[in-house]
Amino acid sequence: MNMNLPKHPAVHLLIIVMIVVVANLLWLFREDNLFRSLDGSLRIKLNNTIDEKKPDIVLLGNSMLDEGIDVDKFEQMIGKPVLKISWGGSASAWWYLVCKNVISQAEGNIETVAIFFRDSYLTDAGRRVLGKNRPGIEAVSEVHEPVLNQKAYISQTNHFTYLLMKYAPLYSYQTRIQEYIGRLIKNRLVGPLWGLKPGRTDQIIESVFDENQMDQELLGKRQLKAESGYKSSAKDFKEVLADSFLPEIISLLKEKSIQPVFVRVKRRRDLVPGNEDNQLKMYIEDLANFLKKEGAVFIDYTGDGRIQPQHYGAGDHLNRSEGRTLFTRIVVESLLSIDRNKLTLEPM
Amino acid sequence: MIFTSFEYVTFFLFVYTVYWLSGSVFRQNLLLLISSYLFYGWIHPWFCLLIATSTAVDFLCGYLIYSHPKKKKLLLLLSLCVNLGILCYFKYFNFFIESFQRVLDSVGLGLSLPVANVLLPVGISFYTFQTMGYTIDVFRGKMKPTTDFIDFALFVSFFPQLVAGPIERAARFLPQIVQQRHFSVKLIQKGYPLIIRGYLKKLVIADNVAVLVDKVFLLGSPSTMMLFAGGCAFALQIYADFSAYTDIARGSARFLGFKLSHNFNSPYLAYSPSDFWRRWHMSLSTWIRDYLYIPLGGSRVSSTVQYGGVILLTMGLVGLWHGAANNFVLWGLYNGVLIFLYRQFGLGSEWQPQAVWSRISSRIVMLFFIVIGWIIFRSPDLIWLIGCFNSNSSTIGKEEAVVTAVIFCYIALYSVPMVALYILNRYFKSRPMLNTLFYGAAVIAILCLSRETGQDFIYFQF
Repeated sequence: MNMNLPKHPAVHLLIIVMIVVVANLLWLFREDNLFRSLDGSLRIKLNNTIDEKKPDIVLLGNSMLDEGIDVDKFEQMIGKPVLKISWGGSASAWWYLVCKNVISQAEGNIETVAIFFRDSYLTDAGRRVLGKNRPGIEAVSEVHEPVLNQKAYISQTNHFTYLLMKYAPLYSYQTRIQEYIGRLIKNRLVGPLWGLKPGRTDQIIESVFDENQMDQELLGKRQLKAESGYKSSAKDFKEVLADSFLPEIISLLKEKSIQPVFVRVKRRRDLVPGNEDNQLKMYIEDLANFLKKEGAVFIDYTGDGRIQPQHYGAGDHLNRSEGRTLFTRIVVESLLSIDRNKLTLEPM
Repeated sequence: MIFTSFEYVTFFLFVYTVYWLSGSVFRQNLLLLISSYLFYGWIHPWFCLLIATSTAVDFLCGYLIYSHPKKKKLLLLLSLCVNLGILCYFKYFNFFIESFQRVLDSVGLGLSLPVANVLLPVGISFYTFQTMGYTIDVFRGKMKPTTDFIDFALFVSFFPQLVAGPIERAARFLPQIVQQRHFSVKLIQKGYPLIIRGYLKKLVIADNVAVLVDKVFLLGSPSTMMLFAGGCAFALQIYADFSAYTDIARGSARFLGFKLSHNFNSPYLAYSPSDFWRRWHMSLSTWIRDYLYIPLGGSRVSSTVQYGGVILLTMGLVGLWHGAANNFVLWGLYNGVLIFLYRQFGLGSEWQPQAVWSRISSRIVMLFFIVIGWIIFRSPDLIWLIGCFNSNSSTIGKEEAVVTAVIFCYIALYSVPMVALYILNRYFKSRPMLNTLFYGAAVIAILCLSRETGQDFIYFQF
C-alpha cells in the first residue's frame, strides 16, 4: 500500500469519486440485484385482490384504519363487498399511488372510496415517503411516477437528493440494504443462538418494543414534540393544496365515477374538546369547503362524543375490542346516510 | 442550518467561493461575519439579536477593562451579569421556576408561578462561554483586547463552530482572524477527510444507533440488562454525534484557512474519570478548569472536604451547562463523585497504570462507569430512572435477552468505522493510499447506510 501517489489532493479526491462511481455502477449492472424483485410487488398483489373481490366500497388508510375498522363486520352491516387497504404508517403519497395504480385500474365498479386520515395528513405530500417508508411507496409504484417524484420528493427535499435517488443505486436502495443487514444480524447471527426460526427475532423485537410496552406519557410527549417541530405551513391549507396529492386523488376517483369520502379520525388529544390548535381548526374549515366544492364527502369524527377514553388502545389507536366495534358501526351508519341522501355530510 | 443538510452544503460552497475571491482579510472577515449571522438566524432571525448583544457587551467591557483598570472588576461583573443573565433566562428560567413550584406545592402553598414561553436559542451555552472567556482573559491581563469590532464579532459567531463548539479561546483564535489567509490546496487536503469522517459518524453511526436508543429509553420499565444495552448504544451515539459535529466544524474551518481546537481524544480509552474529562469535550473541560475549578481553589486545596466540595460544585455546574434538567445535574454530580472517589483511592489525575492487564482492566472499569453516566444523562427524567431500578426487572426473559443481543450486535457493527478510524489515525497516518481508500469506502457507507430521516445533532440543544 506504499504506492508513490502524487500528493495533490485532487488525485485523492478523484480516486474517492472513482471508488464511489464504480461501486454504484457495479451495483446497477448486477444481473440479479438483491432487491429489484421487490419493486411493485404489493401493487400487483392488490391488483389481483381487487379484481377477485370486486368490492363496492374500498377503505383506504393507515394503522388508524387497520386498528379501527373490522372489515368483516363492516361488510355484514353495510351489505356490500368491502375491501380494506391499509398500511401502517402510510400517508397521502401511498394513498395516491393506491388510487392511481390499484383502484383506478380495477375491473369492477367501485362505488365509494373512503380514505381515513389524521389532521393535515391529506395534504402533506412529503410525509412518510423517505427512509423506512420508501420501500412501501415503491411497492405500490409503477416504473414512472412523475407526479409522485415531483410532489413527494423534489418539492420536499432537493434536486441533489432526488438525483442521488435516481442515479446512485447505492443510495436509492439504502433502506433495503439496511434491512438486509438487519436480517443478517437478526436471522443469521442472533436468532440461531436461541434456536429461533427466521422472522421470529423480528416478532420478538416488535413485541418488546410494542407501543403498549412504552411509557405512555413519554410516548405522548414525543408525538407532541415531533408535531410541534413540524413546519407550520403544513397546516395552511391554501398554501399546501397545490403541492399535495389531494386534487389528483379526487380527480382520479371522479374519472372512474367513484364517490370520494374523506374520514377524519378522532385522536386521543380530541377527547378534550377544543384541544386542537387554531391553525388546525382553520385548516379543517378550508379542507371541508374544498371537499364540498369538489363533490367529495367529508366526515369528521374528532368531535364525536360517542368515542370515549375507554375506546382507545396504544396512542391514538382505538382498541380492538370496544373501540373497533363502535367505530365500525358509526362509520357504516355515516356511509349509509350518504348512500340514502347523496348529500355531503357536514363535519360533526 | 444543520451541517448535514443540503442548505448547508450549498451555503458553504457559496461562501467558500466568494471568500477566496474576495482578496483582503477585511473583506474575508466581513463576509464570514455576515455568513455567520445568516447561518445562525436561518430559522429564527431573532437569535442574532442575542448573540449581537453578547458580542457588543463583551467587546466594550474588554476594551474598557484594559483602558480603565480601576473599574475592571465592575466591568467584568457587568459582562458576567449580561452573559449569564441571557443564558439563565433562556435556558434555566423555567427549570428553576418549575423546581421552585414543586417545592411550593409540596409544602401546600398553592401559588402559581409564571413560566416563560421562550425558545432555547441553539448554541447559546457555547458562544456565551467563548465570549466570557475573552473578557476574563483581558481582566486577568493574559491578553490585550482587540480594537476591531468585526474581528471580535467574527470570533464570537464564526459559523463552523458557533452552534456546538469547540469553544475557542480568544488568545488562540483571534490571531487567526487577524492574519492574512491564502488559498492553498493543502487546506482542501486537510479539510475533506475531516468532513467525510464527520458525515460518516453522524449519518451512518449516530443516526442509526439513535433509533435503538430512542426505543429503549421510551420503554415503560426496561430490565437492567436492556437499560445497560441502551446505555452502551447511547455511549456510541453521543460520541459519534458530537465528534461528528466537531469534525465537520474543523473541516469547514480548515477549508477557510482556520485551525479549530481538538475536542476529543479517544475518550472511551480513559483510565480514570479525570482522564476521561481530559479526553471528552476537551474545549469545555479546559474552560471549566481554567475559569471555574482553579479559581474555586480546586488545584490548591489540601483538605478532603474542601476538595470534595469544589469538585462536586464544578461538576454539578458542568451537568447544568448541558441542560436545565435534574438528570443532567445528577450526571454532573455523578462524575464529580467518581473523580473524588478515584482521587481518594490514589487514582487521581496523574495516575496511569503501567502493567498491560492493569491498563486493560482500568479501561473496562472506567467504560462501565461512563456507560452508567450516560444512562443517567439520556434518561427522560429522574422519576423514570428511579422507576427502572425500583421495578422488579433485574431478571431477564428470553425475549429481552434476544433484543439485548440484537442491540449489542448493532453496536458492534456501527463501532467498526470508529475503530477503523482510530487504527488509521494511530498506525497508518502516513499511508496516503490507505487513507484515500478508507475515505472512498466511507462515502459508499454514507450512501448506503445513512438514514434519510436523520436527527439533529444532540449537542445543539445545549
